[in-house]
Amino acid sequence: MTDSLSQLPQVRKSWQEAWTDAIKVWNPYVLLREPTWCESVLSAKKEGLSGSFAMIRLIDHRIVIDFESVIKYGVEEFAQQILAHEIGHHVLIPANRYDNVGLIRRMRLALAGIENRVPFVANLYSDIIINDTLQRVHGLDMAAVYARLQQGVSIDSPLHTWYMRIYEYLWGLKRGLLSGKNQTPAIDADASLAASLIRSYAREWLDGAGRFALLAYPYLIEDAQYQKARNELIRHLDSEKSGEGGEIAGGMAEIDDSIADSIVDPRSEALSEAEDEKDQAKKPSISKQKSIQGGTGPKQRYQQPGVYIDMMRQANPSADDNLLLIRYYKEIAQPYLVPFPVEESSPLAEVLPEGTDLWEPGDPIEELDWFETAVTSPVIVPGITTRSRVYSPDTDSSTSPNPYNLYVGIDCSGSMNNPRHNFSWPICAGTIVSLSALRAGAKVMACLSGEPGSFLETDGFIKAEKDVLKVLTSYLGTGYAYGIPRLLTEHIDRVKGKTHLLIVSDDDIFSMLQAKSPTGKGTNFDIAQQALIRGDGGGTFVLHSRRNWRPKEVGVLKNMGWNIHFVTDEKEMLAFAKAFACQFYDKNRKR
Amino acid sequence: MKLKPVLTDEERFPLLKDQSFLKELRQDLNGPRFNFRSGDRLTADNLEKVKIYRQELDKRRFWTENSLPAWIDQYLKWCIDSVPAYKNYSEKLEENPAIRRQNIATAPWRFVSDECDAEELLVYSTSGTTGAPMDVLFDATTQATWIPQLESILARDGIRLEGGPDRVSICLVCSQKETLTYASLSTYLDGAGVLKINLNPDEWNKPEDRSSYLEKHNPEIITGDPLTFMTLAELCPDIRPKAMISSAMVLLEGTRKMLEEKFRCPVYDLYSLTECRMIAVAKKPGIYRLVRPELYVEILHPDKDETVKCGERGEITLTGGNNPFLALVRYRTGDFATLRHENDEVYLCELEGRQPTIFVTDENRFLNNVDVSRALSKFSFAAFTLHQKQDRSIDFCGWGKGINRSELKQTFCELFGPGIKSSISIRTRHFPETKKVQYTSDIKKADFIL
Amino acid sequence: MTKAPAISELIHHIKLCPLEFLNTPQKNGKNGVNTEALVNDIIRLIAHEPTAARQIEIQSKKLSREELSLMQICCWTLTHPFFAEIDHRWVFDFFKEKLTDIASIVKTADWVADEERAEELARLIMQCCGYVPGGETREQALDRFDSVNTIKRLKVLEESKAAIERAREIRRQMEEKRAREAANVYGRE
Repeated sequence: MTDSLSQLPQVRKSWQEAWTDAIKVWNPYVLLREPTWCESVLSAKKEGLSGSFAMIRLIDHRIVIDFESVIKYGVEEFAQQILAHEIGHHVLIPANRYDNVGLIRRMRLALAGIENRVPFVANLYSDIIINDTLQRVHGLDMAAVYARLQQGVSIDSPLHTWYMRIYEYLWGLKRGLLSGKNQTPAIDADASLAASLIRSYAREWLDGAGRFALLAYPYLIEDAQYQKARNELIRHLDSEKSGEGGEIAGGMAEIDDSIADSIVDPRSEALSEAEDEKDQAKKPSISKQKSIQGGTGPKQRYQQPGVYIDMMRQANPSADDNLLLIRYYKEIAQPYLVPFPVEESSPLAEVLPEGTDLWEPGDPIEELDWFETAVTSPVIVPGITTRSRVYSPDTDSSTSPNPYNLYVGIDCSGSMNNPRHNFSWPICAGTIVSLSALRAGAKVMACLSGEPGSFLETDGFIKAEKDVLKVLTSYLGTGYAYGIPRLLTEHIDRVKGKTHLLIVSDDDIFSMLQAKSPTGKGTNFDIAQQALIRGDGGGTFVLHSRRNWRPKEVGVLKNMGWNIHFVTDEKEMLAFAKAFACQFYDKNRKR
Repeated sequence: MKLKPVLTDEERFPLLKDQSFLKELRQDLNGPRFNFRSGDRLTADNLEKVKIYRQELDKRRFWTENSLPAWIDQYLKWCIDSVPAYKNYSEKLEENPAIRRQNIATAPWRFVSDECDAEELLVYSTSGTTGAPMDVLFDATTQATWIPQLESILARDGIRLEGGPDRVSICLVCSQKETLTYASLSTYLDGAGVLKINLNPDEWNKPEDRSSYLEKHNPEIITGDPLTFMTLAELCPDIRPKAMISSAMVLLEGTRKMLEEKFRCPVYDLYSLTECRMIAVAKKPGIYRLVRPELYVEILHPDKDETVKCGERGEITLTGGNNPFLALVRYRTGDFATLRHENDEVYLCELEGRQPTIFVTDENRFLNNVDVSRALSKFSFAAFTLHQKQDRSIDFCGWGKGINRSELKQTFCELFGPGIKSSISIRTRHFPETKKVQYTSDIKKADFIL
Repeated sequence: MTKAPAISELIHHIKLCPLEFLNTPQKNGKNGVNTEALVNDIIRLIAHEPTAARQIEIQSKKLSREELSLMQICCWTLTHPFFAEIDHRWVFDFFKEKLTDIASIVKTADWVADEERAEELARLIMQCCGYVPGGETREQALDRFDSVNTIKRLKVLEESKAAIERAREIRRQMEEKRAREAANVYGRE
């Protein structure tokens, strides 16, 4: 300990000096802040670094170095290599949060069933791509660094053996120099495949990600094996949490078909190539891979929300689940929303510039604000100096005609899917009508109800998009139907203007309507009738049920003035929501 | 982990077109607040398999003493050919190593036959109250064969499950703080109702609904564990089940008698495991009759993979069964018993849920915990734990009502001798979460000098 | 005793293979390289018998285009001076027997374009001529050859691939189904 303490100033000095050289290895014009130099494990921990001697963070383009660990692992003399490696994470892989999600996305498909290993495998893959580039393109002696790091470590995990064996293949090193003694013919075969993969996909590394992960799969399938591998390799893990913090990368709810093509097991590729190298049609069937993706939602274009949340949290471990879920439904609802009103001279919902935010590769190009970007830095580095303009709708609608307020009541009983785990058509529909109403300047009250049991509603009629969506994307799973007594809410009487009532439920609603009213007088039918009068803006039941089911009860509702819209398939709710939003809230349409 | 209902009722019951009874059970005004949904998922193909299984159960005979079942060669061949875990196994059963829970827990996929369609796989995650947590894989067919297994047990006593689309056939009763509850149907029983309910009053609109709901639907069969049955007996709904099936922990004789009197029906003590479902059933204390000729039971030496001599005590080890998603070859259950053949039947005797625990008397004699169970069976304990410390003193904790404390003290005195100190606590509430009668001891074989 | 070249030297040599050797072999009367003539020329060269008669018969009709191509690449490899310094008789078996299997499973272009395949070819040739590459022990040479041996690798992959795919599929299903409703439970376990 005293030894390492006395070495510290020396080491620090040499590393600081090596920084510029390390940058030059890649490109002298790379703009990166000098790393955060930590002199102890403890201070490194405060920066979020633990287990390894270095780490990177994409959001603030940060590199953190822990000198205590550098000395402990005996790599103090490799400043240039290690710093160049860390810079490699910023400039080569994963480079930015968009590609980071892309990397994670591909590996998740490959590591189906063991997705929790993705950040680990992504880190190993990134490292090896960077190291091989440094060793073979830039002529840095990375092999020496690894030889030092591997000195005397225990290598019991097959993944560890395999991973280090890849380096031996790549750099023509003696068997066992890095990988220890436990190679098997299978490990050799897989390492050989991985080495040629690394060489082939060094530039198009996103395309190699799924393949690499598939090679790693058998070594990580058992939980205990994974734990062991992670423990043994922990000193190498410098980018597992690189996406921590920052904004949610957009457009990730949708499935990207092109990804599936790259989720191919190199073992199968090798075998089918060998089997008939003239007939290259023998690619592992892509259709099978697509079924793994299991698209859902409109046009089956989207991932399941649970998968989306897991994925985004792997990219950014500090992301908030609720916000992610809201983002998910919002992304899906987006194409179906009514356009922002552009009516006459109405100031309604005008879009006002609010400020700027980081623009990253993958963000829509039209959002890139060149002026702000140029102001930030004369040298343009995508994702680092690029800015985008942020707008916010000005929802002051004092002079515009009042659109109907919207009450959305959604059945959240045991028969409904939890929108967090499975894509929910009713919630998607609810999101579309609510967001459309808000765009049009209306107020919205959202209510989830699964009764008898429980309910959850917004605090009256509100304009805050986030609060409405937060209620809609929650889940109860109690009772058997939407609780009609919820319509007794006094907010309907209090809110200014007329209110349209929209209830989404299924045929269990008729048992609910027939039940005795909690007021002690009559049945819930009476509550429904009264609510219609109190809202004075009409009402609609959207029922997932067979058409012509319960004609008598339907007749009663119709006579009260309710519209009844049957959907036999939940998917039809999308068309309904679109039409409904258009009818009530599209101001650009002539009424 | 919280389970999610994800299916539609059409997917839950592909063959049952009329689900009005299901709605009736769910929306019953006296019903519990069901928190889950479930189905048996039987397709025509699955249903056919369940029916064939029922016939096979009746047709097949048990193996005789010192011989293997006739089907075992074929079964082993099938395992070697199609189950990755057994790829290098011998075609002779006795040459193969035994496996344990741990083997399955680390890599359950290795025990799935290549013949299985992975799409049909279902998972049950055991919490691990009796060992490490484990995922048990199965499919809808295997799961549904619980009912034919039950039928074959009941048929011997002339009891028939009638089923039919407007009655509840099976009601699984629980008494827990929180558990999944649902109303469902059985395709195999022609659309008969299946209930899983929780007696915890918080789950009901009114506590008295528990009795009214049960009375209204008067299930043919009540299943559950002894602790729950104690609670049920206290509630004492006016129901007339054809039988009660107790499982998950040993049913003590006192409890059984009390239940039989209260509900005026036979009460069966079922020895079953998540890994293979039913194994054996007892109507008398300690003697469990094997119920499945397609599940071979051998008794292995605790330390080596060899069978013990007939009649000697050892670990219950299973081969066969009807779950291609968890093919078993010499699976050590962790439970100990002796095996006895009698009139073409096979019995597990002296079955205790755990490794034999070493109890010693004040005269340094071994005391078999079977004897303890037997002696304690005259008390109506729902559960108990008994621990002997290094200094030979014993700690006893029992859950039950109306226990005569001095009589209990006397029993321990007779068992362990007057020289052993005993500390006794009797509880009537907060039943333990542990599943079985628990015997533990600090005394090791090594420190016990005769 | 002649000093064998280091394997890296041979790999480098292979990668310099001129286009003429990579041209399509003549087969079924179509235009292309006359492989048989080329092989015989090379044998004359390393045997130091420039005027010798045909030494080896190569029936291009019966052989695959891949094997003929590989023979041409080998011809180039054998132009390395080392092979002219050692006894040349090993090449007869080599051309007759050693190339058929391996040619059918490796893309022709890879022999010169892919680092590892070039090494495999270099090591195959060294093994066949009975020399250990410079700077290596016999064991090391054997091990290195094993490491890049395509035939061995494919055999291993064939054994493991199906099992890996199956395990992966079940694991994926398990994870998907674990948190979902399964099927009715009728009794406690």
